[in-house]
Amino acid sequence: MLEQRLEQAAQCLPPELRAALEGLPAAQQARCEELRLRAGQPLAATVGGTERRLNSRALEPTQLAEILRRATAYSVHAFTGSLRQGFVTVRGGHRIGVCGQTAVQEQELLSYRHISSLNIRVARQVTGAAPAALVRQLCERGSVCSALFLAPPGRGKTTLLRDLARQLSDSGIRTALADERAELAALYEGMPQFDIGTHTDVLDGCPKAEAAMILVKTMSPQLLVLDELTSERDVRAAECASHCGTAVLASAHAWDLDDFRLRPLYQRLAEARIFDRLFCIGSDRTVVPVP
Amino acid sequence: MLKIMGIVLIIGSFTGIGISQRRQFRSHVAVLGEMLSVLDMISNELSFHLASIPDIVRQLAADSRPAVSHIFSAMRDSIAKDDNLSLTFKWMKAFKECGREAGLSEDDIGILCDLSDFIGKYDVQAQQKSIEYARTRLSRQLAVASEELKSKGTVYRTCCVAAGILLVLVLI
Repeated sequence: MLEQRLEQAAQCLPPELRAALEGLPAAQQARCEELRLRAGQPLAATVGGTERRLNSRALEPTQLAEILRRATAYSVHAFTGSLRQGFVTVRGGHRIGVCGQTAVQEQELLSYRHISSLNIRVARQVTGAAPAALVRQLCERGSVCSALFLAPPGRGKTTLLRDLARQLSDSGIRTALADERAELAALYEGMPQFDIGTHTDVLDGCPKAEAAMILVKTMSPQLLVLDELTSERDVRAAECASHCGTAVLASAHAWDLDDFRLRPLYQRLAEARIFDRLFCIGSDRTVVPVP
Repeated sequence: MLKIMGIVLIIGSFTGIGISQRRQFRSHVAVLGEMLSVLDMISNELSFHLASIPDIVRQLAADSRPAVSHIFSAMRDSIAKDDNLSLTFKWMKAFKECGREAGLSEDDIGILCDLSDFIGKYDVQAQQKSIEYARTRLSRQLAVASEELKSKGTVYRTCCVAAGILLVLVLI
């Protein structure tokens, strides 16, 4: 019997690989962050940042291709957009990264000819990931202020934003999630797979920039949550929402404030002064305000 | 009295055989029409909703037309099973196991099974092309079946009635 979230993430694996996962002690299953599948290597699980090989046969590229097909419910067409960015998000908000030999057309990834490795990131809800003090810092006289969270990948930006959205939404703030990668709410047949609060509206799978505008126009949120601002259009969407009087909670890839300022994409964001507060997420996942 | 009863029974049973033959032709035409509408529905769901294949199969399993529901319920149940079998295999299995019962001919089943090489494996445009090709082939099958219904259906019914009358005359 596998831990619930791990079992959901491993749903696309064939029975023999799931059986190999059962070899992990229960405590490690509950802390498992990733499942690594590489051609010619046995299945490995990442626990506490360390990869651990499991007792399975070496994986064949054809097996990896079949696992990806199962993950996409044999419906590659439904995942074309995200596959072109190198990942698919499956039921439960678990993200599968894909590597291999690509077919490229006009400088854009078209498809994968052969799969060489897959990385299944186990998405977990950490209730209380956002400390009460942080929530208080974001709420001023009954309204929320805009805030940006900076961290490199793997520091829990999505988990933090999800928990902030949940707490603020439960406190009565009308919240909207532009969940492009289906990781914040992980809607499945219209139902969120994570607790995202009682006053939350979600637009899933739509590019952030479009989603932000639709949400602001149609749901009149008091708070808009955008995970990972990665393009000029995302930055413009945050700017527009902010000008419409909606507070924006967003995250961005950067080590610290200096790194953030150095990145050309974020210069406009810094100049526009959309965000009232900036925070960095440390390696121990503590949230530190940036003066 | 017995003679009259015998005459009625013989003519009745021969007419029944003729009518049932004609009904087979008619149901073949009907089920081909239904399969064509299934292909349209799949194509629309792919292009407009980018719906996943299991979702489309679930919708078709809930269809009110018995033939469609029969085939796609079997496929839905097979997809729900957690095994190592591919969708290609499950698609073909459902048509091969339930197609005849639903009223399809071997040729029709072959055409629908050929789709399994494309369904869910490529982008929407490529899948739509393969659906369009299957549609063209099935339409041809439908034209042939309609022609058969017109010609052979009537012939079967008339011949059976005539055979019944002939047998009665011979026996008398």
